[in-house]
Amino acid sequence: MIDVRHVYKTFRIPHVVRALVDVSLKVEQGEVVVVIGPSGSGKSTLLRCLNHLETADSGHIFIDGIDILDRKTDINKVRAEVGMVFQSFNLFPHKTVLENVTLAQIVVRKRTKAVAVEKAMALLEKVGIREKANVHPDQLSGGQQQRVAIARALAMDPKIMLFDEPTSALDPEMIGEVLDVMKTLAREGMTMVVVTHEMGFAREVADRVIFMDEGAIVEEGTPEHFFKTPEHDRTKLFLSQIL
Amino acid sequence: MGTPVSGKIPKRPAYYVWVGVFFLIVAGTATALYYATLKIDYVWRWYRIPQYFVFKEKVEVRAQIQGTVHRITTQNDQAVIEVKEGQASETYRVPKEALLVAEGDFIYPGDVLGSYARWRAGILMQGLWLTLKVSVIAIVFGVLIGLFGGLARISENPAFKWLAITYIELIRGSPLLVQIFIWYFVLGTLINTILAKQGIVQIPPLWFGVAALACFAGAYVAEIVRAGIQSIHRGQTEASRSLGMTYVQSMLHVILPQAVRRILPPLAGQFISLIKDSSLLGIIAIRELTKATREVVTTSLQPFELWFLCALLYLFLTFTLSMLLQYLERRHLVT
Ligand SMILES: Nc1ncnc2c1ncn2[C@@H]1O[C@H](COP(=O)(O)OP(=O)(O)OP(=O)(O)O)[C@@H](O)[C@H]1O
Ligand SMILES: [Mg+2]
Repeated sequence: MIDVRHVYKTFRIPHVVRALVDVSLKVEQGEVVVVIGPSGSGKSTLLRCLNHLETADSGHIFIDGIDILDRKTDINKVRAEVGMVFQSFNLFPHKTVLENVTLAQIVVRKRTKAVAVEKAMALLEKVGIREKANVHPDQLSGGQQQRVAIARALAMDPKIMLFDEPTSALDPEMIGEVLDVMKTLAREGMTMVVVTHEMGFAREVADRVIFMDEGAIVEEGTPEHFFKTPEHDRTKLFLSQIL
Repeated sequence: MGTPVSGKIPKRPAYYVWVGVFFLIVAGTATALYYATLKIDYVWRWYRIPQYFVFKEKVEVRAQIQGTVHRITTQNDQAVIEVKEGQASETYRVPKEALLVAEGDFIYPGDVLGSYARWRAGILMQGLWLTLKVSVIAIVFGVLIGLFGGLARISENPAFKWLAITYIELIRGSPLLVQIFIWYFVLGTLINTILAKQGIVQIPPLWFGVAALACFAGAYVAEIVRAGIQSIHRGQTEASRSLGMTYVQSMLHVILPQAVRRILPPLAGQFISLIKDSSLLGIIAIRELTKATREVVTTSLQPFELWFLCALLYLFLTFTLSMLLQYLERRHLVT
């Protein structure tokens, strides 16, 4: 489903940062991969390269067999198949919850309004905020906003979902409700790449855990392997700090 | 301390004293001005002013040929007079009440068949109308130029970006008066001479004036648009693009609707400046409000009334516009 081969990414402004160094990664259909690592290790950059919000400098990234670094690829088509959930929700504040979930369906998928609304209501039901369909996002709690953001991404019927620290901006009591939605998704067989510091989530639903440091993948394995018998010193150090 | 029951904080007596001071200063200034004009024997004649807005024009319909009034029929409110002499015949139309002849009357050329008065717009009214027209057209084009200029300014394409920067800096760095001269005396001469050589009709000065104003406003609007768009968090662009929207879709559905709220207030200021700046167009023979006032002053010799009036008329235009935009802003915030 996702095939990343020898990807490099260097930021030059404001100063030179090697954000990704020779990153290779494969994610199969239905797999849930959790990416962990210290701040600044390149987790977000990797995720953003996957839907071309950042452009990798070199290497290849195949999404469902399509080379997204090829100039001839219509990136908007690929992005429609890859949902993304951000740390800061990024809901559209001038639209109601319902409109947030229908907008891209209508504009990108060219669905009729009726079809889009039906789909949106079903998804809002699924994430448990059907009754808030007609309010604006600023009237929702952080947890509710993030669940709307997940519904918004799911409305496009994506093949892959990317989560960039979806619970980091939330009050502790709201983290559970968002993680529950993500767990349901994982159980339903969604292909997911999740950057998170929620080790409980990693342990429970991850098929594979990836540890990144300084732009490179340091260690990769099952949660079992990771939390019981980590190999690298840096992984051990990181886990000892976070657990 | 007791909590106030109503939301209003009770005013202290000193407050009302200062309100009084305010009105005293305003009234004092007006009175002082009035007495100063009396000192130089200026005679205020406000009653002479309305005729420059609307006046009654006397219209006389005169016969062109000699003959008898053959027949008078009425169509709606009009009387149709048919004058016949042998084979030659002519028809004239006048309002029913204005008819001065009857069937069978003998008519000489130049005889008055009917006379009536009709209201005409005076020179000040025409000037006001022209100022409004020029401003509205310039605002519409200024907004269009500014929208695309602003988008080009934040584009990553160097051709668009540098063109936008060059345009904005050139316009903002030189006086509007000079720009109007360039549009009229340089570009206008060039364009009209070329058109004349091709045998095509000339472009009247009005359009060079409008172009100067629109381009001038466009540069400022571009900066307002740029600031408005950049004030929207980039997470909004990322969220919309990550859903598969194109640049244009993301702009239309997500970024611009949010940016408009921040753009409207400074835009209102820009529009008001534009209305006032249109007063410069008089120098290239466009008879807008200021030039019209100047012409009336030379014929009426009532400069004091007229210049105050001129200022009030601009105030009327700008005030109406800012009310309109405030209404738009409020409506936009609700939806
Ligand atoms: N747009 C950018 N311009 C310049 N430097 C950037 C940009 N985005 C990220 N970086 C840098 O690249 C490095 C990797 O950043 P990245 O956001 O991928 O880290 P991260 O692992 O997601 O960290 P965090 O846990 O803090 O989110 C950091 O040093 C960061 O400062
Ligand atoms: Mg990050």
